Amino acid sequence: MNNISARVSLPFTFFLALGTLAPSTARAVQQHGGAEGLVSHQIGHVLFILGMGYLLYQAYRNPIVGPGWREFRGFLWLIVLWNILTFSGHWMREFIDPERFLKAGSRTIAFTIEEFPDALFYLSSLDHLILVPAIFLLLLALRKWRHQA
Amino acid sequence: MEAPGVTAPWVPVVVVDIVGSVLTLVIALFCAVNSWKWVQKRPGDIFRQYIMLLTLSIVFFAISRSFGHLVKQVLIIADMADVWKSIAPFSGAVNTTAFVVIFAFGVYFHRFKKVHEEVEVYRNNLEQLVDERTEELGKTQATLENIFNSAIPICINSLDFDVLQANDAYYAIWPKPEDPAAPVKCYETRPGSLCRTEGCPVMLIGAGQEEVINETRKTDGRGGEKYFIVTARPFRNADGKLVGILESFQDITDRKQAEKELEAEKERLAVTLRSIGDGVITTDTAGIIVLMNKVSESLTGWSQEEAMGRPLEEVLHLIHQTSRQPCDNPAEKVLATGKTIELESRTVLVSRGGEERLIADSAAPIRDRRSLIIGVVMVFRDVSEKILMEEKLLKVRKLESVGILAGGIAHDFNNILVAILGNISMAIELLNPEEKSRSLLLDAEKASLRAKDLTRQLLTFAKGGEPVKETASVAEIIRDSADFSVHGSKVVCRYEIPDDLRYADIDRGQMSQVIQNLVLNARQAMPEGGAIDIRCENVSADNLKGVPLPRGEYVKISIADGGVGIPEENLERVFDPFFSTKKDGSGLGLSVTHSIIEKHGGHISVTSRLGVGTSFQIFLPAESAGRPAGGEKPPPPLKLQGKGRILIMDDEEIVRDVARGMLTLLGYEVIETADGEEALEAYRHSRVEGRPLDLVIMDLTIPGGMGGKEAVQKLLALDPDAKVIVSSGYSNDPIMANFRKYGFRGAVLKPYRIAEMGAAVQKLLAE
Repeated sequence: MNNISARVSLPFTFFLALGTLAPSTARAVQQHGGAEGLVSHQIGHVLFILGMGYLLYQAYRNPIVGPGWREFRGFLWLIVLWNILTFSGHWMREFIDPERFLKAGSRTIAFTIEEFPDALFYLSSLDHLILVPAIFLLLLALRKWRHQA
Repeated sequence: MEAPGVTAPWVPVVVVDIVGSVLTLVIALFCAVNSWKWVQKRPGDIFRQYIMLLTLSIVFFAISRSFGHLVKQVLIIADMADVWKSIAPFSGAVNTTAFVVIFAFGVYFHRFKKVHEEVEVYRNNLEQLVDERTEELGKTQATLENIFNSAIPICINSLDFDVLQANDAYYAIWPKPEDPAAPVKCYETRPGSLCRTEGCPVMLIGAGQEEVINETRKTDGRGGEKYFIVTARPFRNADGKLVGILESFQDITDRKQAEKELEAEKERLAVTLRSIGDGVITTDTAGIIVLMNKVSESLTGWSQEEAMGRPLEEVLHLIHQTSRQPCDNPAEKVLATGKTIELESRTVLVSRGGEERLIADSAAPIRDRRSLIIGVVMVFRDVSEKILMEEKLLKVRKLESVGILAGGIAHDFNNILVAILGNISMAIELLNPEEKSRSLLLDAEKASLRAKDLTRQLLTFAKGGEPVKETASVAEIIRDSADFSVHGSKVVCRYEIPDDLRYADIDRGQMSQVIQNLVLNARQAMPEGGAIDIRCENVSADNLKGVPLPRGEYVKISIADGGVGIPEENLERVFDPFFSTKKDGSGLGLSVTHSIIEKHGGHISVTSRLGVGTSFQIFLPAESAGRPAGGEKPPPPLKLQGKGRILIMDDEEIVRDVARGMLTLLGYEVIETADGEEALEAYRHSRVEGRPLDLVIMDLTIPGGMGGKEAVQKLLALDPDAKVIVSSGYSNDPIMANFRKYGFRGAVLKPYRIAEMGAAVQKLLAE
């Protein structure tokens, strides 16, 4: 079963990756502009989440005992959370009224939060608060592995 | 109505974005570095490689996103949002690509993990296996090293003569070089006789031989010499390629030394065995000859090489002397009894050439350390000569016994003859010359004189001794003795004796014995009869060529027969004691003859030709006055008016009576004593009385008392001017021949006639 999924998923992933290199001016016969870039990106997040989720699944199904693996699992949790947050942010950004952005010239200086999605969007703009700890946990895991052997 | 909103400043978003991007960028780089270093610790670990690739894809994503956000913030702050809008799709696309790559790596986690786990299991199993094998290998190596170092000296040489490896035993003989890294040539560390020759094991193995074994001498590390059995075999690497030789050295120095000592001992024993004067033969338990010495070869006629491996009875052919039947095999007897045996007497060894020898032999078992019989040794010697000598000695002893008997008889007979001859001579003196009975008495006297000669011969035969010489006619003695010797045989004597043959100073008895011996030999050389030519002549110094005698006048006597003759090889030995070619001969006749002639100052020689005959020549010193032959000297006229006192000392009463009668008849006063003590006392007493004795006649031998020899010395001590005559029947006694040397002034041989007694007494008293 795994062999079959591997044989299908690898070419699929390859062609999908090629398609993302020119989201707005794809030089294919079919035109792929507008929301297609976001969809592709969101699919990317989904795949990211699936990949990390699968890792989490495996990490809990067949737990590896030893230094660093707890940090690695923490990294997985945070990176999945970050993906969900940013996926949500990207998605909601399409639906947020541009008026909510208070600008000074072309620069945004404030954001008006009127509804929950607005608040969620604002929080998703602070995604580094999750991403940095996630990457840091990955660093801790690698350091432990490195020092272990 | 719109719900009242909350205006949230956008600055925190920008700040978090910028700071977060920078931190993400930095941390991502550290992650890349750490993952790289982690993999480098175990480059072959596929799971680490997977984690590194996953990490790198995340790092790629993190860098791409952080870099994109920083560019975005910079462009927005720089009021270049339009620029960002044109770049943003690329940044997003790169991020999306990174997501896809991360996904791709993510879904392979399980496979890599499984592979990793399987690899780990395999690796653990392999490591365990390696550990086990390593442990086993270590044990095996330790065992091999123990064996290697416990074995005899072993080394591995390269084909270039370098000593590659060696064990402790090897280094104990040839120490390790000071610099272990420096190659050492085998021919430098252990030089030997085969080094760099065609027999060198390295060269032979290099040429394709599978094994080379040789015995060689090598110099050890201390410069001493050792002997080894060197076994060389090819030394191949794991691919089977010949890379050197494996040499083992079995030290046989002690064995060599033992072999040398054994060889020397064997040589010594062999020399000893071959030098033994007796024959020695050894056999195995089957009676087969194993060894024999030189004497055995000589006695049996078999050489050792020929005899070895043959049965004993074939080489040592023994028979009984009388029955001529083969003797029992001595080896078989020893093997059957386990005891030492000796051959029966009169066992004859018949040599290979048929020569027979009487041998004496003993055979004894040879036993090993466990006392088991492993063979027989026989020691034998030729006793033919010894037995012959024993037989001759037996004859001599018999003759000695007869001689002693004869001597005793002669002594007693002499005393009897003193009475007979003395009384007859006195009777003749007392009778009127015209009395008819006088001739009868003269015949009796003549017969008594012959009896006297006979006793003298008996004494000579019995003891030999110095001749008691007197001037006598050689011719008369020759005729009497020769005729006597051929009496009753087919042999006759032919004489050629000149009338003027000189007298000679001879012992009648001994000279008679000489003539008898020679004539008897001549007679025995002519068993069929014949003539013996006896010639006498006077010879002077000029005719003594080749004769070892001083210049002077001699009487030469030749006695020649026409008999079988004497072989040339025996001619020089005929005068040796106990040499005889006659079966019953004592070997003493010619020896005594030679001795008598020598004591007379003469010489005897022999010439002979086989089948022609033998001739003896005797030279005797002629009488000093050169008196011509012509019969006995006439006795001096007796003076019957003698005056003086004479002491007679003799243990035999009959002798004293006769002597007293003679001396009384001659006019002397006689005093008799039986031994030396009495004589001395009488002499001393006569001097005390003032009637000293004028003469003393002493018997030489007084059984159980003081004889003449001792008494004369004491008498002369008493009276140095004493005149003493010795009287004895032992004509062969040196005192009688040299009486003056012992203190006597005269000598009278028993038996004596009145004329002889009177002449001796009157002569001495007249001095």
